[in-house]
Parts: sequence; C-alpha cells; structure tokens
Amino acid sequence: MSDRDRLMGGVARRVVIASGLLMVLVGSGFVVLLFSVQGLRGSEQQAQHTAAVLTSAHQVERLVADLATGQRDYVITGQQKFLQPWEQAEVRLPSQIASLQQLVAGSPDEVARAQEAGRSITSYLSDYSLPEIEAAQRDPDSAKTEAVTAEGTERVMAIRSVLDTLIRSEQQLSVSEQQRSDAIAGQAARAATLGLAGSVVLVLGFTVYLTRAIVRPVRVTAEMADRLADGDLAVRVPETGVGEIRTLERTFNTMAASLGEASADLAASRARLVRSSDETRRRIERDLHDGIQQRLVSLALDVRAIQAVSPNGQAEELDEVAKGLSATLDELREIARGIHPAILSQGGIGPAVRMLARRSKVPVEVSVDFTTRLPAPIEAAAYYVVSEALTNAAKHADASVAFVNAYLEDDRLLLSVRDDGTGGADPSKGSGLIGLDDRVAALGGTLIVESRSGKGTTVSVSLPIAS
Amino acid sequence: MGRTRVAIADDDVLLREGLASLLERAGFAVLGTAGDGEELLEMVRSQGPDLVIVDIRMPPEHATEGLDAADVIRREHPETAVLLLSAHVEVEHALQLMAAGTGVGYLLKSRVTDVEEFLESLRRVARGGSVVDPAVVQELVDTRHRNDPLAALSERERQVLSLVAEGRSNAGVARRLWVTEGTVEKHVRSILTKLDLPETDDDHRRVLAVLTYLGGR
Repeated sequence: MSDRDRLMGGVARRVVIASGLLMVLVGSGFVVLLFSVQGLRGSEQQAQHTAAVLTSAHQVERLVADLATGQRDYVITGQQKFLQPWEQAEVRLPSQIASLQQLVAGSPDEVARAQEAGRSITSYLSDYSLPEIEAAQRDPDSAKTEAVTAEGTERVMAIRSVLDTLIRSEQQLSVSEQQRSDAIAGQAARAATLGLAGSVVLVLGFTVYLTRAIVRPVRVTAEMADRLADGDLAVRVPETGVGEIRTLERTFNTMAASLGEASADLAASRARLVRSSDETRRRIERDLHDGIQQRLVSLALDVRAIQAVSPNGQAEELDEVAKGLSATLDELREIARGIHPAILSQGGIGPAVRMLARRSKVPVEVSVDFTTRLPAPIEAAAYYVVSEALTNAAKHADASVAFVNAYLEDDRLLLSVRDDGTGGADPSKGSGLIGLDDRVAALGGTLIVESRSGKGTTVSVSLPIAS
Repeated sequence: MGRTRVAIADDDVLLREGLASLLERAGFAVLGTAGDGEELLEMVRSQGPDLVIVDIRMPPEHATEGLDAADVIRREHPETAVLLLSAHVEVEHALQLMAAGTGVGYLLKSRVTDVEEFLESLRRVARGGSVVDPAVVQELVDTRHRNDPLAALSERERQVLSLVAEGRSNAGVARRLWVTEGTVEKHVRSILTKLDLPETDDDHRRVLAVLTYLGGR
C-alpha cells in the first residue's frame, strides 16, 4: 500500500464515512422538521385558546347588554316580563366571569382586566341596577330621569371598554403567535429543501465515487478475468483503484503473470520432452541401421565365406542361414523406418514428405517450394502431421486424392494437407492428431482441422521458425 | 582386360573387411579400404580405381557423406564406376545418383549377402551399366497416382518395367523371367509406347528415362 492509500484508508472506511455524512445530513433535516411540527402544534393550541377567550368575553358582553336592556325596558314599561332577561343574566354572569378569569389565567395583564370587568359588573349590579329597579318599583317616574339613564349607559360603556381591551389584547397575542408559527414553518421548509438538495448531491457524489472507485475497476477486472479464462495470458489490469480494489487488481496481475510463466514453462518443458524423444528415436534408428544392421551383414558375409569352402550338404544349410539373416535385415529396416524416418534428418521436409506421398495408399500431390533446412523439431512436427493426415485420409476418409502444400512465409512454416474424402472427422475423438496438436503447440504453433461432412478434411499447421 | 580394381569405403571395419575378402575371392583386385569420404577421395585420386563401393552414411555427420563423395568422384573421374550402399531405401538419393552419369549403382547394404546377385551388379556397374535396388523401383512403381498410365500395363509388362528400371539389359530381363530376349524386346517396345517414352539402345539412358518417368509421374 502506498502512503496515499494508508492515509485515505480502505474502501470500507470510505464507504462508512460517506454513509455517516449522509446519515447526519438526513438526520438533522428530520430534527428541524420535528421541531417545526412541535411549534405548529403550539400555535394551533394558542388559536383554540384565543377562540375560547373571545367567545367567553363576547358572552359576558352579551349578558351585560341583557342586564342593561332588561332594566331599561322594565323601568320604561313597568311590566314584569321585561325583567326576565335581566334576572337570567344576573344569575349567569358570576359563573361566566369566573370562567373568563380562568381562561386568561396565563396572562397577568388579562387577569387584571378580567377582574376589573368583574368588579365593574358587580358594581353595576349592586350600586346602580338593583337600586334602579327597586326605585322603579316604588316610584316609576323618579327612575326615568335623564341622569339616571345616562349613568347606566356610562357604566355599561366602561364595562364594554374593559372587555374590548381584553379582546384586543387576546387577538394581539393570537396574531403574534401566528407570525411565530409562520416563521417556524418557513424555517422548516428551508431546512427540508436544504436537506433534500444536500442529500441528492451527496448521494449522487457517493454513487459517482462508488462507480469510479469500485464498480468500474471490478468490471474491468472481471472482463480481464474472462479473457484470461479464454487463454489470453498476457492480459493485465491497470492498477488505478484504491485500498482493497488496488489489492485485487495487483493480485490479479500477479496471478496472470504466474499463469503466463507457468504456461511458458509447461510449453518449454513439453518442447524439451518432444525434442528429447525425437533425439532418442533418431539415435535408435541410427543404432539399428549402422550398428545392428552392419553387424548382421558382416555375419552374413562370414557365413557366405564359410559356405564357399564348405562341402555340399553343409553349404546348403549355411545358405539357409544367410537367407534367414537377409530376411531379418528386411524386418530390421521396416522397424527402423517406423521409429524414425532417416530421410527427415538427411533431406529435410521436401524429400521426407515426398517419401510419405510415395508410400501413401491414396494418390498424393505434393508441393513443397523450398529446400531450406529447418530446425529438427519443426521438421519432425511437419513430418508427423503429414504422415498422420495421409494415414487418416487413406484409412477413414475414403479419399481419392490428397494434396500436401508447404511453404515459408514471414518466418513461419505453413503446411496443409487436404483430401477429398468424406470429412466429418472429429479430431477430439481418439485421432492421432491430438498428440500432434500437443507437439505443434509445444513449438508455439497452431494446428487446425477442418472436416465438414462431405467436404473433405483439411489439416493446417502454422509453425514459427525463429528459434 | 585385367582384374577390376576396387576401392571400398565404409566406417564399419568388420563390414568393409568382409566385403574386401568377398571381392578378393571373387577375383576383384581390392586396392584398399577407407573409413570416410575424405580417405576415399584420396585413394581415388592417387590410385584411380575402376570401381568404388561407398556407404552413404559415414563420419563425420553420418548423413550423406558417401553420396557427396560419389558426386565428387563422378565429376573428377567420370571413368570410375560408383556403387552406393545404403542402410535404407532412399528413392531421392537413388535418383540423384542415376542422374550423375553412367556406371553407377544404388543398392541396399543387405544385398551383399546375396553374393551372386551382388557380384553380378558390381560387374554391371564396372562395365558402365546401371544398377538400381529393386526396393527403390518397387517404391516408385507402387506409388499411387491419379489417372495412372501404369494402370494400362499388363502384369507381365509391369514386371519387365521394374527389371528395366533396376538397370537390366533385355538379355538380363530375359534371364530373370525365363523368356527369350525377343519376347522382352516386344514387351519393352509396348511399354515405351504406352508410356510415351523414347526408344533408345543405350541401357543407362533407358534406365534414367524410366526412373525419371516413375519418379515424376
């Protein structure tokens, strides 16, 4: 890990940090919303309270109005029935005033006004209204004086004024509470907008970061792994990721390099095996031809020499021995040829392929347009491919002709054996061509078998010569 | 005419000594034996043998040293006959040698064990005739070809063609087949006509024509 990586930490740490940021942002947005909701609920309660206070105050006002109206009508008419609203109002007023005082208990200012209103009403009843009614009962005319009526009106006005002040004060309270809740709502909306925008930006940034830091490198690595699996051992991943991703990329590259080395080692080892086996075959062939065969020929010559000076009967027996040796020599030559074609070492691909063509059971037309000698393993591979392909053409393909073509191009030997047989050969099924594929691959070449049913079989080999 | 003077080249001591004693017994004058091509060339240059018998594979490379030496001898001493001995059948080598001129022969090494036939071959080569191993001819005749003109030949004609390709004269062919020379002549004329080959009295040119025809079909 580089210093930069150590400072930045692993991918896991980055993900945790980014998630934490997102959580804090979204969380604070919710906290602000929660507070706003709380504030809104408070202002709603205040509105309900204000409505109750106003209702109560208006009720008191109406009852006071009932007192004044009932008293005036009674004094003017003297009829008892006009006194009924007055009596009802007198009964209900004390509890109504108490209820108003209770409603405004939270505000000392308003409590003072409510108490003042209560006192004025009590004073109105006991100091003015009741004496007026009694006076009217006693002497209706004295009660109808202008002065008395004016005092009543004045008292009622004073009570109204106190109550109106209370109502205005309560309305004022309600308005300011409304303004406060509006402010809270605006604040909440701004906070929510900010939180939303911040979250979107953060999530987008996070997504882009994750894509660049994790998804893309992993995808690239996966593609390379596919190519690696397909046999392209030269693939490498650019080591651009961070933390664990970089570790993954580096590990992949190390693995690919090891695979490449192992594969090259294996190929080299196979090539060595093939070469060593070819050399062994060549040595055995030479030992058979130049060692054992020479010795047998010498022995046969000795037998012939003895035969020449032997009496008749014995000479015939020795003749049989010499003929036996001769037959053995023929067999020996056959065996030696199967082990290694001497002409391949002596003449190269052209003469060796023409020899195969002469011995083929299918007519073969050969075109080898070079006499250059190539490295022994390449000549051997070419020879065995032609040999196997011609054997297959004669044995399985029912061919009437085969064509062998070999030429050199750009430091490669290009060789093809084509027949006009039945085709449809499956090289993966027990054909000798599999072993040859190994031999060709060991030399870094390719072997392709095309064998469509009814279209004949073509075996093509491309071998690099530079070695 | 005196005894045929022979030089023998083979890297196997036992074999070349055995061959030398065989030839001595058969009335040849063995000038000497050599273990490789260089030695042989020296001997040829200094002693001028009538005939050399050469193994194809010899030191130092055990490849075609004998064939190379034969080429040199044919160029420097065209009057010296050359018989090549090979450990195995190699048609291309045989054709290469036949093209080098008259008085040449190519035989499998194991043919020396059939003494009479071998000595007869030697004498033919020494006389300026040609000898080609039956196995070489066999391989050439057996080669499959499309639209093969040889298919037009009768069994007897194929036998005659093979013997002619081995370098035998009409008389030689007649002896092998137990027929009269006239019969062989008739067969040969028929064969040459069927194969569209020119008639010639020169045995070597006839062998060369037939071999070239067989090898180039």
